[in-house]
Amino acid sequence: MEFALQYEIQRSRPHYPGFMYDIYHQATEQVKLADRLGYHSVWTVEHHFLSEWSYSSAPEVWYGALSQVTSRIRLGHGICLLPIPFNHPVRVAERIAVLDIMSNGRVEFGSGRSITEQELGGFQVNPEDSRAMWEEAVAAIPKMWTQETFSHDGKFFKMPEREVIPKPIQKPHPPMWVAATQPSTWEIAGQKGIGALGFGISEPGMLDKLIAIYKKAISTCEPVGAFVNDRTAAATVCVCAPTREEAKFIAKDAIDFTTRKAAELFTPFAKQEVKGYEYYKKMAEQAVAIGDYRLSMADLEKRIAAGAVMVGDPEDCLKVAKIYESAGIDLLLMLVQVGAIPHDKVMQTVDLIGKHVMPKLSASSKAYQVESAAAAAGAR
Amino acid sequence: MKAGLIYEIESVKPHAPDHEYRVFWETMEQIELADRLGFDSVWTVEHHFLNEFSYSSAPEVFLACVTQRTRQIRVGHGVVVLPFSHPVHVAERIAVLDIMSNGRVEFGTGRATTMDELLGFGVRPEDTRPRWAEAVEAIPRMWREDPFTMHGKYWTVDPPVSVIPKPIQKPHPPMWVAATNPTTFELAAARGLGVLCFTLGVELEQVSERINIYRNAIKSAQPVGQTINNQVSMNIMGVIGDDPYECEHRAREAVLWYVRKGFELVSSVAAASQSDESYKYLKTASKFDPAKFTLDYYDFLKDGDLIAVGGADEAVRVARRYQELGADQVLFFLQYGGIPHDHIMRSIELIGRDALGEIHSWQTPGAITPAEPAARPAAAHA
Repeated sequence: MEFALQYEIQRSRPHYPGFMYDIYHQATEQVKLADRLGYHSVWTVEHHFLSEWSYSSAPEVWYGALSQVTSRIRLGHGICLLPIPFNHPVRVAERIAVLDIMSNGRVEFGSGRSITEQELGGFQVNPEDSRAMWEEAVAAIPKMWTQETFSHDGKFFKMPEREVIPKPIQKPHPPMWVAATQPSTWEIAGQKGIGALGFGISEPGMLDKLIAIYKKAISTCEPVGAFVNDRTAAATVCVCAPTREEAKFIAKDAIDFTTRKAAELFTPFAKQEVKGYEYYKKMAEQAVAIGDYRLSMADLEKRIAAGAVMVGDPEDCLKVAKIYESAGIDLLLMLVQVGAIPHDKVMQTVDLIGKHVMPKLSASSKAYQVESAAAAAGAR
Repeated sequence: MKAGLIYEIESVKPHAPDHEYRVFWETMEQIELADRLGFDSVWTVEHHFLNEFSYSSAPEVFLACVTQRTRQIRVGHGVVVLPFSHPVHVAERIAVLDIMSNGRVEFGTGRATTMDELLGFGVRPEDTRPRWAEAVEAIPRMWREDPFTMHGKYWTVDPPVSVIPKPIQKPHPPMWVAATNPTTFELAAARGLGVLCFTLGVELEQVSERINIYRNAIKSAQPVGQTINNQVSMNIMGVIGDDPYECEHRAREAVLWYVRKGFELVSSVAAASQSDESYKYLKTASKFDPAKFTLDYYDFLKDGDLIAVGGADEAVRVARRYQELGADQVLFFLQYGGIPHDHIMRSIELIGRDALGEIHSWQTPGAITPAEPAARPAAAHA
């Protein structure tokens, strides 16, 4: 299993003037550290309008910046919204290509359709069309990259023959993924031969079923891209500290915030039937119970024990990581900048995981250590 | 007077297998040099599908890269094609770029002038100007109004939203519009926007008239943003070098390649938009005849001071002409028509060493943009 950072670019209230500037530059410092420590990748959402939850409304711009201050860490869109009012598929293909050129081939391309009413409403996307819009775009984009010229006559966009330029430098093209929350999306990911980025995993126990669905579907897939990207990822909050007590103390308010805020944001269409979003209606019914919910220390400990969150000292975090690894997850997406956890504590998490957890599980991290040691020996 | 660079990011055939990769990284190296030498700004176009002519299809990504390899140079969109992106996403991209560049963004806007692009995105020529007008009015509102709503002809945002993050330049980054025809100079002035003159081939007397129109009209501007960016920027296509004969030789070939290709591309709009008055100014180009662009045309450009070919003194002389016409800023356009990277590096070096100091010493009539970087809080608050 490989290790990755996952960002919302988050900051819960209270806010102060200049906090948006700070969280971007702090996240950049965190990624630079992860790059030095040999993390596999960094992933960032695309969200619009979601104050507190995410300030990452233009991840393509932040990635341009990251590509120049890092040298080995891969840059993953986790994810890019494909329904057309958000992004025209041509513009997505172009941006990924330029980023691939400027990052020397380090792009991972995750996509999705958006699941919040704020975003779908703000961009006037009919929620019943969002999956079909995603499907049309996700099939078109790899063709724009691999064909010299591209034309399209679809339901949601049409274009005459054009050369979409430039092309990505990873051949045949950057690996493709999709955000998967509900089981049916894990299946669609498999059918299309693209990686599944598992979000909303309330506990790793549910992964066995999801991965089984994915593996079954991918065995008979019709890939949308030029190759099959048979990989799964799962996202979890991660707070690591020298002692379990400190980690729990740092994590508690942040996890309380993410639990309540996610219940508010990611249970769209709770009061109406919308095709393709029925799964979230069920989640919403559970979330209603959250109401005045406040995370207690006992709840947090239960969730740590279940592996739902990765909180504790390096040994505790390693145990949770092993749960994901044994479930068959290829890439662990760690949400390290959550709530209002201060920058130095996020740096501490990135540092401890990179030095004491990753080397025990990650192939690339081991390779990196060997390489560094060899380089150091050479320098002597 | 300010001086910067402007890029199409061109790569002329025949193409090596890695030509796209090379042109992006060569451009980056040129910009890094310009940053060290004290150029004020670098601007990139947004063009789509225009093989050879421009690979700058995602300037928001490339400029973000530039922010991390430079310290002082301002980064300009010259321009963002507003009809092709949702205005909310444009506002967000500019804000993140402003944050990552520590407040160095110049926000140029435009509407596209080739049929290749308009048809590619399914936008009708007659809709481009109203789309631009709707977006250019909405975007600065997104930065100052929270919650924000709009009910336009092309875009509706309702229920209300918070467009986040916000730019760090206060009140917001300087705003500009690309202008070729006289009407756009008036539209720019009416909205309080700076003008980026894309007037290659237009005689300087005519450019001067357009600048006068702009300066008069901007007195009664109803600005779309919170500043009046009373500035005129003009491009100087050039080949600057040590050996005037070599410069002349390179320029003849490269300039003629560029004007042939450029007129061929823009002529398509005029030809296709019979019903649309706003592209009428391109009608002469619609009678596109490659045979017209011979050495006589090159001489016309050179004798009319529409290009600068020679040593750094020639760059100074042409810039001075533009300053006398009323420009506040010149953007050197050096990478086109297959001019090799090492020559462009030398052009930048010579301009930086021998021309910038003098150009910077000239007074210009335009108002200095009131947008200034916000005071930066410490990176960590621990």
